[in-house]
Amino acid sequence: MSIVREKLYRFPWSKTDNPGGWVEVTDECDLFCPGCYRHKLEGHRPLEEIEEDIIACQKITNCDSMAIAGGEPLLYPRIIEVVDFISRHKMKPVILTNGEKLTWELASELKKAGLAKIHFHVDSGQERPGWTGKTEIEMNELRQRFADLLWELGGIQCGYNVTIFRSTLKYLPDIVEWSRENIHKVQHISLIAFRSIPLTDSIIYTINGEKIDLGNLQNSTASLSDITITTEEMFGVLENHFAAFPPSAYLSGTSAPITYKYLIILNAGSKHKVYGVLGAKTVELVQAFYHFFKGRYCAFLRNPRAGKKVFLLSLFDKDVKRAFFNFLKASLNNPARLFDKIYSQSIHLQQPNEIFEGKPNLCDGCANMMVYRGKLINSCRLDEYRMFGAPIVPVALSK
Amino acid sequence: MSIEREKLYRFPWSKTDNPGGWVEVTDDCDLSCPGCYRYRLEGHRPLEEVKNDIIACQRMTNCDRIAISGGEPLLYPHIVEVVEFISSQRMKPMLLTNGEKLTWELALALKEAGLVQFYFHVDSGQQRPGWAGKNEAEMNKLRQHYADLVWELGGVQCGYNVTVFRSTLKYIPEIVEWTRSNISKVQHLSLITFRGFLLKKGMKYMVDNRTIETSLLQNCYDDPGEISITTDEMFRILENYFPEQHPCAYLSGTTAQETYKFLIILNVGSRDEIYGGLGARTVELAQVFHHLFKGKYCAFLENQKVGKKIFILSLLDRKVRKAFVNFLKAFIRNPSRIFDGIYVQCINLQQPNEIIKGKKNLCDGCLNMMIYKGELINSCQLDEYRLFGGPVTSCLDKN
Repeated sequence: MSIVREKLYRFPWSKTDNPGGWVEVTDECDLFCPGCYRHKLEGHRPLEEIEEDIIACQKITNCDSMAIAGGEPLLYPRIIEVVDFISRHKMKPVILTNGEKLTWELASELKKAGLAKIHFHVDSGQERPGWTGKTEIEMNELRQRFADLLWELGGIQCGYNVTIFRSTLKYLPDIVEWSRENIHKVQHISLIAFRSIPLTDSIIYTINGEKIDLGNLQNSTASLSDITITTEEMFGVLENHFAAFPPSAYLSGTSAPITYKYLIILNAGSKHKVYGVLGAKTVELVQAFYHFFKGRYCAFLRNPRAGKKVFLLSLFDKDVKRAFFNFLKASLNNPARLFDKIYSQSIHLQQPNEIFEGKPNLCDGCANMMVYRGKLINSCRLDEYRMFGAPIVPVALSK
Repeated sequence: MSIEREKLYRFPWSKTDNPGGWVEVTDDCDLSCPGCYRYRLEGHRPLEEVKNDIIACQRMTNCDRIAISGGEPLLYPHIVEVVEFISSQRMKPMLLTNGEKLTWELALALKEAGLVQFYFHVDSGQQRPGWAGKNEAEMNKLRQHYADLVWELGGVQCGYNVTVFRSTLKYIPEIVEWTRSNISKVQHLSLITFRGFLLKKGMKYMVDNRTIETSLLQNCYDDPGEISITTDEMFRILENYFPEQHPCAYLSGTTAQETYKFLIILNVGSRDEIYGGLGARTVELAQVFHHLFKGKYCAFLENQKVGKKIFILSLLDRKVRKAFVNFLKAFIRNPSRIFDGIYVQCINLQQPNEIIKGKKNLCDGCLNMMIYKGELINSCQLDEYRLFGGPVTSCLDKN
């Protein structure tokens, strides 16, 4: 079954009414991941500057959560203060980290400061000390370690970012299978197709009309087949393994509206079984209600334990009805299931910043915009601003 | 009072989930209005091509209404068929016309074909035969003529586009006053600030890294004052005359988020009196419910005669409450007011396609996107594609 757009909800997000904000605290990092588009240019940023950017970002985007990224934010000496600052400004702080520096003590402090979620970037491409040469399946062991840590700590949601390469595409079902088994511990997994700026004879890159050389960028490549995985392709791989696994919502591309830059699947289940998914109507209702009552959209709910009340949405949402039916069947087979807690989990297929048919194709409604020198920019393009002063303009050469 | 963004609703519109679509049937026109960005290059387009574009636009944008535009669409010999086609595809056809060719018979045929709205472009800059030298206030007489015609016809909504120049800015209160006094007949008024390309030393215009001849651009000015009126500026002028008239919703710019590209004011009243306005909450509810039940957003309601039931929204919307109180007061003064029909009227301040600080600033969530050669483009940029093969960008010329 291909993806049917009419059945999907397009998130109502825009530049100035968006659930997500983004701030970078450092560009230092203790790993070197392929696909990383951040260069070490500045090191740790002054706290005051970060706080100003956070406030400016909140003002422009009306955001509900703020991703603290980098670099590796856990290397930033004042990370707790940043989390605390965001929390005090009534946003949900989220940390994007590789987890290397996460200890129980640090996690506890972050929790106290109000951290809502940690997004661990874990994949086999990272070549971490102690994990080199492992496959994606084997990396689930590390994922489990972080998931268990946060589960034990309680109160902080757990998510993962996984960069998907041609060579690791086949492992997608194993990663998703692991997430589903951990639905009570893992709230979110982003499977992000690897992208890089293509170096070919048919495109030149310019800034303000002048040709520039991108050979030195760590995120440029001449190997084009590596950077063409689409969210649809990832979905195709997953669909073969998981029955009744339809996506419910999306964001399209800015220059290629046919592309799915974000494609969201929402699992619903207990720790024993995933019963099904939440459909487009449920996502729509959540966004609409949240906005009506809180004045902004949400990227995730504070409490991922949806509870059995979520099945009430069967009235509006066929997908939920199906999940409810599966839950009832499971309960008939084993009445103990009736007492299980019900969680939701989002599987997020992403196709980031790319040059598509010669044009930059960004996420229309991007939830990761940040403030750079007072201006709202796509965080994935930050280094284009830092290194060249402006976003790179590709020019397709006529044949 | 300045415009407070926190009190405004940002329409939930995006490229792929948008109430508006756009199609051009001809680039022939019988007037030559200053500010027009359409060249005569092709004449009438083949009907089949027009229909294909309509279907592609609907598929891509999920639109609720299609604006039939040009050129002057009433010159197009198959115009009735186009209206009928849009209507048969379950969208609301709307016509942007200067009205010159509108006869009673044609209006009747268009109504029967399912036309939902006429949008008349009427302003003093047009120098129409018989109206040359008239000021904006005097042009209200022509507006009245069309409003009366459409009112008599019944069942079709009536709107106006007015391009606002520096020289006519002072007349906007009179246009709005006229519109308010015709709330039963006139559902929409778009006050569109004049825009063009600035010719400045050191500035060049490019398409795909090729410098283009500015002599080919229709609206070039060396006086920035003429093309710099903002929606904020128009609002401040109106505010002095109508202090109770506040905006409730907006769209921002793509590159300059602080700009208000669309700023919407919704009046509510009867033909005797404007009682007040609708607030952000009401617009939000209207968008949410329309989308929840019809699967798409709406640019305007099928019937703007909303009736007194609108006052129920007093429970949620302070502005409606205020309007309701005014209605009750009017009723106490004159109990026959209870039998008055209650209408909603939309005043739309627009700041179209422009270059701000060297960057194209389009409407984020633009509802006038169209299909050109299979691609979704901003209709205001159509001739940049037709003449130069792509959107024009500006850059500083180092020579």
